[in-house]
Amino acid sequence: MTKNSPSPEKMEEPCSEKSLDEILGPTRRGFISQAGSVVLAAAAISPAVAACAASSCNPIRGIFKHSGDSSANDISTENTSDGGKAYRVASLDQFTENGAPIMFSIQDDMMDGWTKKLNVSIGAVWVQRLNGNHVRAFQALCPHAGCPIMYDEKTNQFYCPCHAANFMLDGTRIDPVSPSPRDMDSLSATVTEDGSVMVTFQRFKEGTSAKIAEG
Amino acid sequence: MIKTFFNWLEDRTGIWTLCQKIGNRPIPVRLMSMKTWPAIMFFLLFIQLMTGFILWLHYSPSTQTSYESVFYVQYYLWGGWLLRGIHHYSAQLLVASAIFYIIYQIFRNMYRSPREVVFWLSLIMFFWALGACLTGDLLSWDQNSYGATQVRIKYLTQIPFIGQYLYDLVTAGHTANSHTLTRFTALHIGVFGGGFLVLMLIHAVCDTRAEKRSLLNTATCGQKTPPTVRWWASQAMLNAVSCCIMMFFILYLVSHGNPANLVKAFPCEKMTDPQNLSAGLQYGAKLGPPADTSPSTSFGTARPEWVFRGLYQYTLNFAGKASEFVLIFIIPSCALLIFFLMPFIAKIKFGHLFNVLYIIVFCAIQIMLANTSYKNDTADKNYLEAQRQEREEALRLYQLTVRRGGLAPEGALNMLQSDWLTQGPKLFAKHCAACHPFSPSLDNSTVKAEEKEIHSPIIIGEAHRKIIPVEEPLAPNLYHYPSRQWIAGFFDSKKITSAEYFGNTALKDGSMVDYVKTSLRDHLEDEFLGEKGLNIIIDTLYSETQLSEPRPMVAAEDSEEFEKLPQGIDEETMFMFIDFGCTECHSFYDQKGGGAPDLTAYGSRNWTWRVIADPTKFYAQNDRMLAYHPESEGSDKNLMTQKEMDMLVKWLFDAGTGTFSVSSGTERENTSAPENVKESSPETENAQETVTESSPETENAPETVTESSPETEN
Repeated sequence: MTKNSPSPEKMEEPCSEKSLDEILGPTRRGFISQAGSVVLAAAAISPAVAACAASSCNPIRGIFKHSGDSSANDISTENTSDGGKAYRVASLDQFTENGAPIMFSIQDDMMDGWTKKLNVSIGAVWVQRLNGNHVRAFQALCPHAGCPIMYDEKTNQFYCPCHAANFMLDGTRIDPVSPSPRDMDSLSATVTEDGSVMVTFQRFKEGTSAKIAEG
Repeated sequence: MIKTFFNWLEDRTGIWTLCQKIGNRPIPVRLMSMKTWPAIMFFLLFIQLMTGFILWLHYSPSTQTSYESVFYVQYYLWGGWLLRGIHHYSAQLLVASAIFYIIYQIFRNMYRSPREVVFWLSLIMFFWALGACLTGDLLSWDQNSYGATQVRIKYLTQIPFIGQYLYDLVTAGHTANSHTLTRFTALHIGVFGGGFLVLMLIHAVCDTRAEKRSLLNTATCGQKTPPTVRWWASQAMLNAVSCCIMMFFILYLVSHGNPANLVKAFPCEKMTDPQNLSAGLQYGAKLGPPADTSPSTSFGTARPEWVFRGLYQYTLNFAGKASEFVLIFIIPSCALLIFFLMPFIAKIKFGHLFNVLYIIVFCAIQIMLANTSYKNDTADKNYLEAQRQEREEALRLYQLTVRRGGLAPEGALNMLQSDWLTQGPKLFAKHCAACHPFSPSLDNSTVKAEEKEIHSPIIIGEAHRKIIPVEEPLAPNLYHYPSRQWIAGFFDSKKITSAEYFGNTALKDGSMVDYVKTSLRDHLEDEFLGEKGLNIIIDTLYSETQLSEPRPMVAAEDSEEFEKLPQGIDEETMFMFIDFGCTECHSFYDQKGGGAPDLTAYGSRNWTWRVIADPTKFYAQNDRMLAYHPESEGSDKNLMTQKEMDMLVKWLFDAGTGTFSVSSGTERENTSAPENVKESSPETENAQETVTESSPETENAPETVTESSPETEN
């Protein structure tokens, strides 16, 4: 503050703030100017808000689309009728009949933010060979909270280390009160003529008693 | 119930009283237009903070990911180009508004007692806005922002004693690097973004205080008070209108002058859809190719932002006449110091007049200098060429990501560095263009016309064939290599001795030229050989250029003379090669000739690769051409790596042959096509063939996209 400033402060003393209001007279506010200010201010900021909203909503864009709107790109040629995609995970020779289940990772291309990674692990499945050419496969993630399910050789059971859910080899829950709301998610698995084990890989919603495929 | 809640809230916070206090502020009518500038600045700052926060959500500061994340925002994020565009252009307008506010205060004589602090705050806000621009510029990490920032911060080292330390503190390394990026991000968001908000609040408090004081002064001294209005809603209305105008300006700039198109362009397309082009290519803030920090890359397009253009031109004008420290730091600082002293200068007689004149002269000089700088740029061929190249590379990168369905894990820079279409012309210019021209015609005037034709549309597809002229060609022009037309030229005595072929080489006096001038004439007059025979030879040689490997020798069942013939070549053709005398010097499959180049699979990719690798094995009379890859990979004698050789050869064969383009300008491409067809119709035939040949790459893209789309959705 310069030297000048103290003097007006002294002069201010006799007048209270109210007196300034009195000098200036009563305020009149038109409805139009008030509403107009609000509307115009909203209009001015709206493009920026739109841009922000659109960009932040990018991950959940799908919900704005109609279900029939999904382009042909979303359905790959290898897709089976129930929505999953078939992968060759192994050849039948790798298994013994009614032997222990083996875990395989599913390899495919994956988007990581802006990067497209080619042929990386996108999931895991447990595969077991039954009699003859029959195989069965399970999604390796626990239906409870999505922890990877392990196999215990001693007890010959599946178990989830996170919340101690136990499963039989056919995927059913062992404990009557299991943390898992449903049995392990089975996946359709076939053996082709040349002896390849094909598994249709899918993810399912966790925490629900019904088995709901994830889009 | 609601009323009780508000009463309680008011009792605890006093928020309503505060709102009333702010709303009831008296504003003199004559100052309303000046008071709207801080409101505009606050509006722009609010936009900055809002859009900046969302950009922050998507940004990843490191040399490996900065460009990639911004690239994603610009081209693939829904509405991302609009977000980035609004952030960029409202920042420019914020700087401009700060300047206008300062000028306005001086012109309205509103910078002196009791408003000194308000004026100083407005000056500080201007510098803060500049700081935000300077730090924000680097964050996109494209070639231009990297180059410009690197030059800018290098000037810090000019400061005596502490300069080097300052520079090291800013960059945290020898040159701008990942640490610089994290620093600039924090500075940009925390210091300049958050700090600006604090400055605005202090400014608002001081401004209100000063206003009230001067009003009270006049009122209590018994003078007539000027007509006043209340802030709400008279000043508020004016502010809202000004903000609307500002937003229109922003959208005008974001859309490059076409605000109506913004609505159309809004649904930014999905990353996986190669058919739909991102609106980010046409609208919003510019994004060049990724920064290449290798010292061999030129900063050809590095220019300061518009506020600094005056300073830039001034340093160019006075370069070398004083030390850079004096030029860049001392003199501009003194010029700006005057602004801070203005409230005091105004106390002297004619001080106000001086201040007004000073700002007029200051602005006029700045505008003049900036104008010169922009004019120089538009006349600078190198600058324009560098800019065009950057634009092309940025578009090419977009094209590559569309095909791949995303950026490669190695990063954007790596994608461009291993792209044949980007590197081909660079390699040619570096290694070949000292002797070989690459130009549709060696006549300069026609080249220029065609250059314009090709470069004007914003498109870079494989249809694009870059011209690399050479002032004094010393070796054959390779533009039409290896078309039928090019091969036919060898049998034209005028052409083969021209600069297009052997005119400037030792081969000018070689046996091939000799043959074309003498024996060939006799052969052409021969009734068994003649034009028809020559055409068979040319056609056969042309078909050789299309081979991926030499034809296998198969048993010739119908032939009496030959036991075996190359597959697809009949007895008559083979006789032509022998009767025309080709095989006396040239080898052709099992017909062994002398020292002249082997015509087996002549002009094919593999043949070309091997000629470039070691021409001495083909041309005995080779007088100048270096061997570029004479030894196995990794040897010091190799001038090009295997990968570089592959890219160069692919470019020689495939540039200008494809049809995929990444632009809505496909029509424009078509308009330029007929010219090419006229010029080199055999080549276009060749083109269609090569397209099918190289189609695996082109067609693979949509396939892989479809395969992986479920993952993309997840």
